[in-house]
Amino acid sequence: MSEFDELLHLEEDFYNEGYQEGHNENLKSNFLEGKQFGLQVGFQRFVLLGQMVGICDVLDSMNLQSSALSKNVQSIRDLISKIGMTNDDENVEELEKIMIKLKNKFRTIMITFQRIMKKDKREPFTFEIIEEISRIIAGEVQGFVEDEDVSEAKTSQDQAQAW
Amino acid sequence: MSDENDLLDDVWGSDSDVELPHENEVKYSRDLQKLREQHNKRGYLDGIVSSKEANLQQGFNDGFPTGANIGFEVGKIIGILQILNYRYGQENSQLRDDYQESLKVLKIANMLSKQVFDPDFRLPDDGKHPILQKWQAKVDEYCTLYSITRK
Repeated sequence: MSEFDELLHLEEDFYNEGYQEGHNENLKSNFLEGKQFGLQVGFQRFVLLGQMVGICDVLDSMNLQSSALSKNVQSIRDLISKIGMTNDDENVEELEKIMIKLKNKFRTIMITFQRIMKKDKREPFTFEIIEEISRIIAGEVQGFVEDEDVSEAKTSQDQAQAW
Repeated sequence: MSDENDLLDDVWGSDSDVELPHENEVKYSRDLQKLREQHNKRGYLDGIVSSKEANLQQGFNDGFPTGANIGFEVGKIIGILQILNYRYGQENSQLRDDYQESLKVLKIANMLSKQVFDPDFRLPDDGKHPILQKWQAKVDEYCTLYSITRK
């Protein structure tokens, strides 16, 4: 090995040595920062889906005697069962596509439900109301801040209460 | 990388010996020390930047499924209470109150709060979310009461 080669080798060693130090710096705090954000985004993406499943369970049990409604409820279940809960690229892309279908189908379900419930003469229970509740739960109404501490959380709760 | 040549010039321009570091016990000449500082610093900065992105992403992917699962379960509870409240709320004041309370208690800020998770954002040892468990039990009671079959 020539001296020149040795020197280049040395530069590389110094660089790698520094790289490793830098790499280990804040390793944990960065990971936790990412994890906190992942928890939030995961939560926010799945609230509305859960609501749909819950409402479908109740609708199915109500025996509403509407084959159109039962059929749509079944398609909602089928679509949701396809969704993966990890943050893989394919899952994220798939979720976006399925979400559009789900929302349209669910809107139809709620319109049918409304027609059946009409005799009740009450303010309608629409898909928009369901979505609004989803946004409140997911903190998207007040804009959920990452480092929101408990005192701030309380104020946003009070705001939601006013709704 | 543009200062590479300057650095080499600097080193070659001096009379100092280029010593290779020996394991553990390394004595560097001044020039070599300078060389080390510069390359170490460059590596350090690159290391910080690259690891920040990688670690953030790794953390995000680690937290996402847990958050998704909690959000999904919360959604089910809210969905059931919401439609039951619409259907039976007028005749069942307890249901009405529970639904209103669920809208406050099951909000994201509460569900993902530092009181539930440990400092590393992990759920308690059993992996169960205490608020979720409490409300799942509550919803189970309503499902029994109104003959709701959960699929």
